[in-house]
Amino acid sequence: MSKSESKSGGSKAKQKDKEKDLKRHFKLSHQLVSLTGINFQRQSIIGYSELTIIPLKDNLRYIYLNAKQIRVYKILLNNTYEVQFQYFDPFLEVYQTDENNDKKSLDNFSPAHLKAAQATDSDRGLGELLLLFPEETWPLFQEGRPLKVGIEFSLEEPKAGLHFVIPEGEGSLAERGAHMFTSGYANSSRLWFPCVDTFSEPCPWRFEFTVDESMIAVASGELLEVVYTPDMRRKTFYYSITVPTAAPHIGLAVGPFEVFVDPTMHEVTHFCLPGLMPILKTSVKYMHESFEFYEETLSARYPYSCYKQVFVEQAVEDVRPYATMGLMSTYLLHGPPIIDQVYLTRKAMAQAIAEQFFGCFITMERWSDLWLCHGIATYLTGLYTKKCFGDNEYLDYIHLEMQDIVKYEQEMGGIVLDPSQAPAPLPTTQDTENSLSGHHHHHHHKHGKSHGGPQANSPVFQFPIGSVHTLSPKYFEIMRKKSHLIIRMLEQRIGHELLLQVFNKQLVLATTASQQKMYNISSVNAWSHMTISTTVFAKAVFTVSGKDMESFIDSWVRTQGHAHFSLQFVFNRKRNTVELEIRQEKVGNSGIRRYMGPLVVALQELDGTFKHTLQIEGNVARADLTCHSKSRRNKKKKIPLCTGEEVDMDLSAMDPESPVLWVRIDPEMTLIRANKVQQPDYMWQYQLRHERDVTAQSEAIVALEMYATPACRLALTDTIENEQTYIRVRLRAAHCLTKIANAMVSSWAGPPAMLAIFRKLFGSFSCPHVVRQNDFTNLQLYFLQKTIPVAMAGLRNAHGICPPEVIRFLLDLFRFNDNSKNRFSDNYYRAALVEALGATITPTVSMLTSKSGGITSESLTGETKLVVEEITRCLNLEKLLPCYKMQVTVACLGAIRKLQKFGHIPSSPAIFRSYSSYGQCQDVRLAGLRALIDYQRVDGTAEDLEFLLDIAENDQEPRIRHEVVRMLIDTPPFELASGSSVDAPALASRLWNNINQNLHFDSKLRCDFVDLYYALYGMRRPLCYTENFALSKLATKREAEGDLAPDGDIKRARLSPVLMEENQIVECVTVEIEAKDQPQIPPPKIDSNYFSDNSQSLPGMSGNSQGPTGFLPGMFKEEGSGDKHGKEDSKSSKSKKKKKDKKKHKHKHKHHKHRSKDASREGKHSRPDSPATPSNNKEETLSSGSSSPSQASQDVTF
Amino acid sequence: MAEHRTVLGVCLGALLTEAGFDAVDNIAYETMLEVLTSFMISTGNTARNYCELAGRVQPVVGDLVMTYADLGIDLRGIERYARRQQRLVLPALGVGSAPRPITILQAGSKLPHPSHIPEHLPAFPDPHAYIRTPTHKQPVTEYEALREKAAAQKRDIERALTKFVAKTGDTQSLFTTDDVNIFPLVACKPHPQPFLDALMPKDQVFDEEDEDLELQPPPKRVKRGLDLSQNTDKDSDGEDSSPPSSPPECPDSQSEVGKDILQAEKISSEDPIDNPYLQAVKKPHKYI
Repeated sequence: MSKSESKSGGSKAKQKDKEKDLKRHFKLSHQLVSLTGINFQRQSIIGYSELTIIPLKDNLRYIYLNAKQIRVYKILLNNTYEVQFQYFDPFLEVYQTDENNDKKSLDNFSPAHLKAAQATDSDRGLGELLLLFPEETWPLFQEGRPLKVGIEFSLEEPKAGLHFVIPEGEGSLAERGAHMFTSGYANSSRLWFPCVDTFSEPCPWRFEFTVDESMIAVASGELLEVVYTPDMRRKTFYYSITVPTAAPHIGLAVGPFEVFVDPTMHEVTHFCLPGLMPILKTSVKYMHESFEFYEETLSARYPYSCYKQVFVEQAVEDVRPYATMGLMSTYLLHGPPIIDQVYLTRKAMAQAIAEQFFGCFITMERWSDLWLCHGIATYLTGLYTKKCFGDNEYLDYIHLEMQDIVKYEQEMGGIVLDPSQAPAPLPTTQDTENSLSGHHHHHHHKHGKSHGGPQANSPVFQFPIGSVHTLSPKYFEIMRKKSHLIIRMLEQRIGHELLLQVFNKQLVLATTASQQKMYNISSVNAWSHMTISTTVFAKAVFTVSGKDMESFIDSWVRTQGHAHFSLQFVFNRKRNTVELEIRQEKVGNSGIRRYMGPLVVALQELDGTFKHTLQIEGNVARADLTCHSKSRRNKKKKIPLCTGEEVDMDLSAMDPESPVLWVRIDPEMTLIRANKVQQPDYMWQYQLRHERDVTAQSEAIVALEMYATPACRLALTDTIENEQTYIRVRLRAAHCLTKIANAMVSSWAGPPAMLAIFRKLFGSFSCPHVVRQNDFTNLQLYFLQKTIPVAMAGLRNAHGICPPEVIRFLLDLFRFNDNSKNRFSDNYYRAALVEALGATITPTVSMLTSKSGGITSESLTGETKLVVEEITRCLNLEKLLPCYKMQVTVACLGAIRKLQKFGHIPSSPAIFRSYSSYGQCQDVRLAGLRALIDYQRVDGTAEDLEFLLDIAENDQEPRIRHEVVRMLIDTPPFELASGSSVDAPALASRLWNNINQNLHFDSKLRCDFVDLYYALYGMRRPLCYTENFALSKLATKREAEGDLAPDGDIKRARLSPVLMEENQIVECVTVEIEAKDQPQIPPPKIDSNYFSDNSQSLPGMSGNSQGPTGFLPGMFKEEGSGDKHGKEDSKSSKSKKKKKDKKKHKHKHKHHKHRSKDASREGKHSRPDSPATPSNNKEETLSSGSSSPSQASQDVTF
Repeated sequence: MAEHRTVLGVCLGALLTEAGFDAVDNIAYETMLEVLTSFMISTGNTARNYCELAGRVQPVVGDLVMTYADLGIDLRGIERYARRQQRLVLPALGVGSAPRPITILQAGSKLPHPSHIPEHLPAFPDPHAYIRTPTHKQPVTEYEALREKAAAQKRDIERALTKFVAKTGDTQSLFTTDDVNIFPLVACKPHPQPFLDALMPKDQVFDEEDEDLELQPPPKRVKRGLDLSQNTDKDSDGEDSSPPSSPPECPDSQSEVGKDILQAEKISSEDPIDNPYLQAVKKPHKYI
């Protein structure tokens, strides 16, 4: 990655030339798309597109357009002149390796990947399709005179961008419910029609879609009319969209949809597949409320004239907003008796509508401005959920988002929302992390905004963050969350009303702009207010609020990472102060930055809540906070809380000297931060019991996990029972109580934890041990009823197994479950019960592999047999009486896998394979695949992995493909350099080919595979390519066998299980867990073997297994600058060549020269890398090497 | 009838033996039996006719004489025949135990006749014919037991059903060994439209009532003439769209204003929802 940076950091002059060149020299004023032949049998479309362009210079000789996987037949200028065109897609081979395995590393791939993305980036004036205007047309090109470019094209069996769903079976296509829809990721309209595929080029559109008589075409824009074709067998839908709209926001869905006009708002139309009308009506019943909410909140009208929601099968995402339409997954639909799905569905629909305002209508200027659209839309959705589901739900949602961000950033690295511009180098805002990579920051700053493609300024990721087509989808997801929180932080800084005014101002400007027309050169900037950028937004904030938010934006938007505080304090009795110390210890760790600025610390004292704002200026901040109240535990007086209410507390647990009840940092979540507060357990208990803020309660629960004491148990029990407490806190308390109970197992008296609570709440009146008939009208009780059994199933007795009492309790819940009088479906409840059964399973004493066939039904112990029986029954029943979304099947598959994993039944992938096959409902498939991937990690062979990869590459459902890879990343089949038998060169080559060539059409999946490659091999060349890898593998095996010796004992022990003492069982169990869960821990020895074998060729590295410490900061700079030169040379020569070098689709031989140059360049580069290449288990640290030395240097500067 | 036939058959056999036969063909025997039967029936019928003609209820010898005369049967020598020596004496007919009416349900004991009813009158029928008889045990009303029973019943039904399906269709097994029949899992089948089953569950039928209640259209929003596209149709619609309500309840709206309101409401209720997707497909454009 350092290469890509250095490349971009060329000399100033050259860079300027280049930047000047890197823009579009025309404006798009209108586009027509006409799809005349949409053929479901052949999965093909035939189409015509006409772009009206306004040249921005007289000597425009060629233009680039975006077009991918489509076949272009003919291009006409002004309907007269035929235009020559060439096609080149760099993703067809991202990085030319010439089958040299040594180069198949992400270190090499990443820069090439970014380059490929930039080579087709329309904002740089580039694209896949090059149109060369013939000489006779040159006089037509006068600055500002519109020209029409008409393109005839076709598309057959698209692999991405457009998705056809064609169920097999009897009847016509319409009867079978065949449909198709746009399924592209980010800006991927190029996959189905030629366009300027960027968000910054909005224009009005017209569409014509000719479809079969039985079908409906739903597309962006307003439906003008529907007309039969002359043969009366097909009809044409005419759409027009007058509001300028960017190409990526054009959506289309064709199918035999059922139409439902919203009864409240007739401009809104809902579409669903045949047969789903009843649940469609239920699902969308309250959708109009979100419309009203947004319009009121923003005091602005919905910007378009209509809105459509289309529910399709096999959708890639739950929600994909397009201009005037939201493409939704059909799995969002639900009938009236369903509870849990309602929350998700409402939120999803609200999100799609929010994105109509910010996202579709107002769109981003560049990729680096994505955070604004995402952030504002998600923020608005958040406000709606607050209104819809309550303040606590909202706060909890924010808190969870924060945790997700913190987790991801600490794991993978800090997210920079807007990498296009470095933060101003003020000492207060400059992030130490970034100052390391100062040289390119500097450069960024120099040419500031002008350059098109933002560059990677964070050195931590395995993918370049410069383009969405190279970003990890996971990063994308977390980035949205972070954007949301940043907008919320802005709200806290300038105020809710003012922030809404900023939004309103943007909408008003955009609305005005959207009504203008673009005729000629004088009006080419007419629509500039339709896009938003960080700078524009910051200015708008300033105009409206009068507050300069530049430093806020620098410090949170342009700087990566989050803050991390750990707080300690002591109470000084003499001075009546709290001596506080806040440290930022982890600064420099992945994703953690140093924060300087105000920080609020809230002290809850006996006399009330007191907030103190501290100024944080260094890594350690100390403060003495004077307490307002004297300790006075004997006076009985109510204690005021932060909300103003006054409560009675039992103060006997606290320190009689101190008036402090608890301490919190940043209670309002005004920063993105991770907190570590150290306070005694009784303070946490007070916080849990009495603090009104749900985030504080949740944090207290997490902290209390450490304190297995009766007092803590009581606090948790009281919380579970307290009806005034927010339900999710109560649920968390239940799970926490499980952990506490397990830790206290030796001293635990009485019935299993929570049993009494459950019986009290849900037992029937006359016989508490029989559960009442279900009645879910009280949702709090419903969620408790679902959760407590799962929490209880996690209980373990002194032998490490689930107490038989609990298992019987669970089985009774199954037996007495009676939903006949309930208004709501109990599907989620039943699924939770199955999940609970799964959670009771502990590793078996027997230890036989599945291959020996030793596990039979007889070897099941009594309770396990009952569990298996129950699971079998539930699974079978589900076949005959399927419940909503087959939730029970999903839970059963998880439980079966757990039984397999813990050796109760033979481990086999067969069942899961059948459930994960095409033709099952989505959730079931995912559950099957999850089990398969778990199996893969423990027992999987290379063939099993191939099965999974086949799905990941070829499955018909795009979402499944994506999810499989994501799951493989989360649960990789083997650890980096672990010597697994699956880790073979063929696998590495297969993955490499996917990212390098095969997945050229699908950016999302390609980036998923990049993440997978990283998870398996790190940044460097995969180890399996090493010659003696096989040898080292053998060694591993041998050692592994050696390790297995204790297991042998277990086997023997199993022969006489009856005789075994219970203590013995416990021991065996623990061994078994280790053996099963981490079957292939690499013995550290191999690495050293490996090192010594290669040490000769590694000057400077030989024998030095301590990767990063072997580097000096200077070393890296040298390497970097060397790279820079190489890159510059090749880059400049390349940029000169660029115009001449445009090749046609079949250009390989022509291209060869260029490629060989690349190759030689890469060769050059690979040399400095090569010393590090064969290092193995240090790979990861090395790969992020460019950051680590700098971190070290930073630490010194503190 | 069958008894008569049996008796007649025995007589016939005796006659034949007397006549010197040792054996008889089945068909001949049957034929002769029919003849004999027919003869006996005509004898009986005619004799009864004569006796009824004479106003009696029981035939006397005279009636029989007349009968035989009628049938053209000569009675001379019958006395001798009756006193013949070698006649066979048939064994007394076994008084076959008369099949008693099967009492399916004997409930209670039969009541003896009260004193005012003579003994020869028929006995009372089974008591359950005229009194309430307990046919079942007292129902269990204890909640726990009921739940227990309901659960067991439900479980039995489910088990039988799944077992049946598992036996009749494809199965999978959790175990690799032969014991396929233990814990059989009904195999999952791919469905062309898997979402239909998943989204429209059949596991429980819910009352439609409250659903309908909720589904009543919420009050219509005043339509918003949506700005940007400046559609003239739309704007005019926006003006005349008054909130639809049920037809006016009070009939005293005969005034002009009332009429106007009526009119307006008529229009708005007749006015179909203005949504392009509800409009008819147009005929193809004519090519000029």
